[in-house]
Amino acid sequence: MDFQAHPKMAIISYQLGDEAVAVRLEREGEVVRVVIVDRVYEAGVIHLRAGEVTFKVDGITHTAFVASDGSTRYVAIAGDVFELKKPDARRARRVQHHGEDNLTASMPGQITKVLVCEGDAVQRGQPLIALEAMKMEIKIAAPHAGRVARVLVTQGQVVDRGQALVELSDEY
Amino acid sequence: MKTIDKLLIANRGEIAVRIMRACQELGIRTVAIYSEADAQALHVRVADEAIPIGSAAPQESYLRGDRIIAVAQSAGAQAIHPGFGFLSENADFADAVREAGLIFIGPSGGSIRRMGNKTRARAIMQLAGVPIVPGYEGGIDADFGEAAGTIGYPVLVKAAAGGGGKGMRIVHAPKDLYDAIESAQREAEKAFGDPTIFLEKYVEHAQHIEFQVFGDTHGTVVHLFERDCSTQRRHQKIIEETPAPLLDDELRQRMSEAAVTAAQAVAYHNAGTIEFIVDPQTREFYFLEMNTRLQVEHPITELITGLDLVKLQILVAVGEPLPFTQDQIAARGHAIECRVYAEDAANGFLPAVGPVLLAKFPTMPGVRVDAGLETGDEVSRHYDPMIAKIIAYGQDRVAAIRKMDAALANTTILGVTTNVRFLRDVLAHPVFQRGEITTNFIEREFAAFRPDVNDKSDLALIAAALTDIQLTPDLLTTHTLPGALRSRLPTTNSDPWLAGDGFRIGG
Repeated sequence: MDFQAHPKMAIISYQLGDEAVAVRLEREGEVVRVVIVDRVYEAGVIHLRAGEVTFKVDGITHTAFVASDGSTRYVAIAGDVFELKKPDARRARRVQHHGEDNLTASMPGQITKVLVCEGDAVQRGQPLIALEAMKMEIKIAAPHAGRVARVLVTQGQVVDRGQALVELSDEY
Repeated sequence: MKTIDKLLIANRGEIAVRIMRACQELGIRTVAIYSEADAQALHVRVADEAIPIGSAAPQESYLRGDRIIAVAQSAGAQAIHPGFGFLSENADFADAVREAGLIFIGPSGGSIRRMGNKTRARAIMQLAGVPIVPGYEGGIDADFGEAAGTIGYPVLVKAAAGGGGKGMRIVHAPKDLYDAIESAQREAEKAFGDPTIFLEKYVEHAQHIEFQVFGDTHGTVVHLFERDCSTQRRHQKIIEETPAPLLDDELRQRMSEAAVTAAQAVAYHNAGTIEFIVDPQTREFYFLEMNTRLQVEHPITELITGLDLVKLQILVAVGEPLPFTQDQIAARGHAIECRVYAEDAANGFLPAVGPVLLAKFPTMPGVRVDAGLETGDEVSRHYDPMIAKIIAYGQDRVAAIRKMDAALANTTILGVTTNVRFLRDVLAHPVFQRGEITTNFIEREFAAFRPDVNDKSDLALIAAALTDIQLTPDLLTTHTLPGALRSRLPTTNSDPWLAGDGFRIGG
C-alpha cells in the first residue's frame, strides 16, 4: 500500500450490522467533508490519542472511544457502543502489492504470541503477531497473502514503536 | 476488645475491592484469595497480599471454607470478611471461622441458620408479630390444594431451603398445582438436598422494598432506611434506589419497626437486610426474607446516610457498640444504583464474557463507581458478569435520575456487550419516572428490547473514519496533531485495521 501521496479524498468502508456503509472523506482546506450515503457533514479532528478521538461534526464537539479486536472495531459515543467490522472481504477491492513488506509494531509493547513461522504461507488478514500494548492486545495481520520471509521477534520480547516484527514476501 | 491488623477477604470482584478500600482507610492490611482464573484480577492487585486458593470453579476455590480458614491463619489474618454470595450466608462457615479463633465479619452462625430456612424464618416472624405473606407450610400433599384455594390464586410454590429462584413456581390455576409442587420438590432436592416446599400468596404487582438493619453485640439494633429494589430481571435486581418512591413517613415508620423487630427476633448483629414485598394498591407489606450479609446495593444507603457500612461491620465485629442511636441517623437526598452487567439485554440477558478493551467510568460530582475490573481485565465465564455498580446521588429523585443518566452516558465499556443502553432506557421509561415500578416491570415492558441508537451511528462511523484516516501520514487533517503525538501514532502498514483492502485511497 502506498500512502506517500497527498490524496484529497478517501473512502473507508465499514460493516455496521448487516449493512456495508462507505464513508467518503474529502479535504477542503481546514475541514473534512464527510459523505455517508446521501448525508453530508463537515467534520474535523480536534484531538486524537490512542483509543480516543475528539472531533467536530457540523460545529458540535464529540468524543469517541475506539478499540479494535481482530476485525471488529468498537466505537463508543456517549456511552453507546457500535461494533464496526471490516467489510465483507469478497466485496472489497484488491490492492496491489509488490516486493516485501516490513510489518512493524504500531505501539511500544510486548510480544504476547508469535503466530507464524518463517516460510509459512499466509492469507490476507491472517494474524501474524499478537502484541500487548496499553493493556490491549493488538493483532498484527498480514496486509496481503504471501509467505513469511523472516520473523524478527520472539514471544515475550519488548518492542519499540516502529520496530520491524515480520518480513512478508509477496511470493508464495 | 479484639483488634484486627490484617483481614482476609473471602471474595472477588468489586465487593472484595470495596472491602479492601475500607481496610486501607482503617490501617488494616488486606489478604486476597484468588482462583486460577483470577491471578491478575483487580482484587488481587489492590490487596497487600494475595494467595491462590484453587482452580477456577467456585467449589474448588471461593467456596472452599476449609482452605480459606487455613490460608487466613497461615497469613496471620485475625478476621475474615465474606462479602456477599459465595460463603457469606453459610452458617457452618461462620461457625468454623470463629472456632478457628478468627473474627467473622458478619452475624452469628445461629442467626444465619434461623433465617436461612424460609419456613423457619416465617414461623419466627409470625411469632414476633412481623407480617408474613399469607401461606401454608402443611405436611401432606392432600392439604395443599385446599390451602391454595384459601390463600387464593395465583400462589407461589417455594423451596424452604431455597434461594435465587430455584425450586420456585408460580401457579395460576388449581389444575397446575400438583405438577408444580412435584417439580419444585425435585428441583429443591437437587439444589439444596431438601425437598421441603411451602405455599405463598403470589402478589402479582408487588414492589420489593427492603430495610437495611444493623446490630451490635450489645443488643442494639437500628435501621438505616429502605431501598426499593423492584427493578429486576430474572428475579435479580438491576436498579435500586432510596428512598422508595412509594413510602410515606407513616408506612416507612411501620416497616422500619417491623424490620428492627425481625432482626431482634434472631438476636442479630452486624449488617443485615429485611426484604419485604409491598402491594402498592393496598399498601400492605409482608416479610419476604432476611439477607444475613452486606448487600450488593449497600452504597445507596451509604450515600443518603453518610455512613460506611463496611467500616461499621468491622467495628461491631470486634465488639464495639454502634457509635450512634436510631435518632442520630438521618437520611438526606436520593440515591440510585445501576448494576452494569456484561450481558445482552436484547438477547435474553445472555452473559457476555471476554477481554475488556476499554473500561472508562464516570468521574463527576455525586457519582460513585464500585468497579470490579479495569481496562485490559477480563469478564470471566466462571463468575457473576457484573462489571461495576454506578451509584448516583441527587437532592431529590428527579436530580438523581438525571445524574445517573449522565453517569451512564460517561460509562464506556468496549470489548464485551453491556446493559448500559438498557439501563438508560429503563430510567427513561414513564413508569420508572413516575416511581411505579413493580417486580414484573422489566418482563412486561422490555420483553422486546432492542437498543435504538441509529441516531448516533453516523457519528460512530465518522469517528472511526477520522481515526483511521489520521493514521495515514500527511492525509487530511494530520497537521492538527502535536508533533510528539503524531510520532506515536501507529504506522499504516502494521495497523490491522488498515491491513485489509477495504481502505481505498484515490481522488
